Amino acid sequence: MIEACQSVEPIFQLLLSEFKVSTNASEQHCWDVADRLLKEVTRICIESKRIQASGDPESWALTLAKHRLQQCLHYSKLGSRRGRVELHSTLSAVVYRYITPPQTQASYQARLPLIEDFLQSFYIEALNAFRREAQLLPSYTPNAPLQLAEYMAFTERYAKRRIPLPGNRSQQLIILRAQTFSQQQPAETPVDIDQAAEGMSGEADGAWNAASMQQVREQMVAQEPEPVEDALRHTVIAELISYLDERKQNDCADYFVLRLQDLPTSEIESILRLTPRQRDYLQQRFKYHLVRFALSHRWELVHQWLEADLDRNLGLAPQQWQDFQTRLDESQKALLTLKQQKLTDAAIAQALGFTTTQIQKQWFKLLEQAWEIRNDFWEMQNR
Amino acid sequence: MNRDPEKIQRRILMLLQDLLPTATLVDAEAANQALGCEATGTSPLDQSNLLMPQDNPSPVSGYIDSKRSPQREPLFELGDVPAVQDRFHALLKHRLQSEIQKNPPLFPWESTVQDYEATTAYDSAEAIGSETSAPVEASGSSIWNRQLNALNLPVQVPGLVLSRLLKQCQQVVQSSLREGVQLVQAVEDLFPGEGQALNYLAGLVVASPARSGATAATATAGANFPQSYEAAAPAQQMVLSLLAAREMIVTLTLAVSANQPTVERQWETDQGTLQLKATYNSDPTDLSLVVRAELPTGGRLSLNGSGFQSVAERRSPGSVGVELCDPEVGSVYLLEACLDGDETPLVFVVRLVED
Repeated sequence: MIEACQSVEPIFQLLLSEFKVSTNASEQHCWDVADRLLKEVTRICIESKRIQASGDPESWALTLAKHRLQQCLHYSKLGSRRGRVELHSTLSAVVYRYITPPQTQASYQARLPLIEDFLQSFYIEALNAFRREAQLLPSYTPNAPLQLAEYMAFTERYAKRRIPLPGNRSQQLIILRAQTFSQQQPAETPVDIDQAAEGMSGEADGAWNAASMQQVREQMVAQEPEPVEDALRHTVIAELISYLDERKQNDCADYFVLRLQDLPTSEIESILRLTPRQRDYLQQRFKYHLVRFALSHRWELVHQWLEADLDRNLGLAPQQWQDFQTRLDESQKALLTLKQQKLTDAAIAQALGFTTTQIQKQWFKLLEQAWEIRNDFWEMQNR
Repeated sequence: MNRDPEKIQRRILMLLQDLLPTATLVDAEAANQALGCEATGTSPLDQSNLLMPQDNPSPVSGYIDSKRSPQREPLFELGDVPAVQDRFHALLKHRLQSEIQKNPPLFPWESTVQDYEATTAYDSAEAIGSETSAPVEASGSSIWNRQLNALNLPVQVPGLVLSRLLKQCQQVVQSSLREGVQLVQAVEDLFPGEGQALNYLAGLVVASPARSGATAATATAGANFPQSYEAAAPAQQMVLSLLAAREMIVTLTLAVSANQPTVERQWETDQGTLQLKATYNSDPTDLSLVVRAELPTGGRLSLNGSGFQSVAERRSPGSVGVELCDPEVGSVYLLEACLDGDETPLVFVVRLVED
């Protein structure tokens, strides 16, 4: 197994020359960092059963090394100040939802100092992990630009390592830590995580996942078949977001995303830097586009996902469906029939002697009526 | 995590229902009307005469929450959909960066933010001033100041003076005062107690031809300008400052009208060129004001009127657009541009003028 990763000298030379070309670091620093990255990569290749099973550990080693090189150069390019802002904001965003103030309701302002505290302790943990894994002295601290970049890149990778959990699930290490920090996890969990983190040192980290996305995806599909509803739900959400973006309603898409995080209104306002009044307008605008999306632009997709498509009588119970139909005038009935026959708007328009726009307006009204009937029913049920 | 598809679907339904019933009253009608004018992309909802339902959980949904789930679980697994999660992270990261930039974190071994100056024999001269070794605290100046080098002035005015002027100009440009008064207000901080002299000189500056483009170097009041700003007499310094302020105000003002519906602007920044294009559409059926920007980095553009705002944001270089419906002739609309790397926006105004 070990000999499988023997031919690493070319990789080392690649790392070394890239560091020399792309940074102003001394030869010694370039050499040290290249050496440490190579050792990390080699260890992953040796420990990973999957990489060994792939039969091509050299190409894996090269991929993993290049990924680490890029991360390191990225932070090196940003430099000390911008690099730390980048790292800190990346990690803050990942843990944001998981850092909750005790007792009081979460708010943007209340979370920030907690996230700061949490990350301070996380940086210590990452430094210790780095010293241990790179076999450095317990007193080692970065003191040159390239070493700082190396530490920042390591910290980001370390934070994003996936830790296996019972039931074939996994979670990023930093999120587990954040949950512990917010006391959402039982006390004994950290021990397990520590063990897992040790054993899992590279197998499941971000680089691996990025590099072998296809395999991972296949595995996930095998473990947990995605229900059709799930796929539809993802499609609806992704399409709504791109619908909003395409119409330059990026702020509506942002608002939607925040609503889905179940954040309090005031927190959404803080994140978007809006006054309550501005947020009201934004919400109005979002609703407007949502209605158009659901009842016009992508009505078929949305209704299919709500199990209220035409094949299912727009989700109406038999009695409701009958009532609905009796309320329609002749041209609306004709429209419904042609829609059921899956004719295009243009064909329907021609058949009924209307413009396509008029057909779309009529159809919008019909769907809206059905929506109201379902709605009344829902409210009654839940009362 | 609850993965029961039935329940998930109900929850989404609830979200939609939470939004749609209130929406159907006004929005659906508006949406319906707007179906005919899809191409214009105008949103009738930018008008301020709409009902304002509260965003707080409605009694109905509150009831559902408490009845259905003994403990209130996170409302939506939807938050974990990759498309949502990625955007949420990017959004938050962007938001948090502005706080973090003000107060960057320290690593465990540090007591101050160090810049890790390379100190070996391999350091080349070009390393000094490069990203990795630039003094950490040097990033205080604004990215917007780059444009100030391009000002058309007969004598170079120091950067510090110009950046103070730029700050003031962004304020006065929003007012509806006459040009001369605007100029005086823009520079008076630099020359305390010189109000009278400034008023007089501003009159001369206003009367002189605008120094745009080719006419530049010749057309100034006295033409006998000193070697440098520092060497200039106080009155000359005032004129120079007034001229600079006028250039800035002209550049920061995008005046559009029915006969001149489109105005373009460029602003040089440390990150690249910001390009703006304001277009007034005076067709009564589609009255609107549209501003398109080419951002050299990720950033944000907002157009503000009384009681409404149109915002566009992107996280990478490229175009963004904002739009206001039914703008009023004679009004002044604030146009704020914000770029990554500087949280202070640059404020332009779009003036809708009569022909």
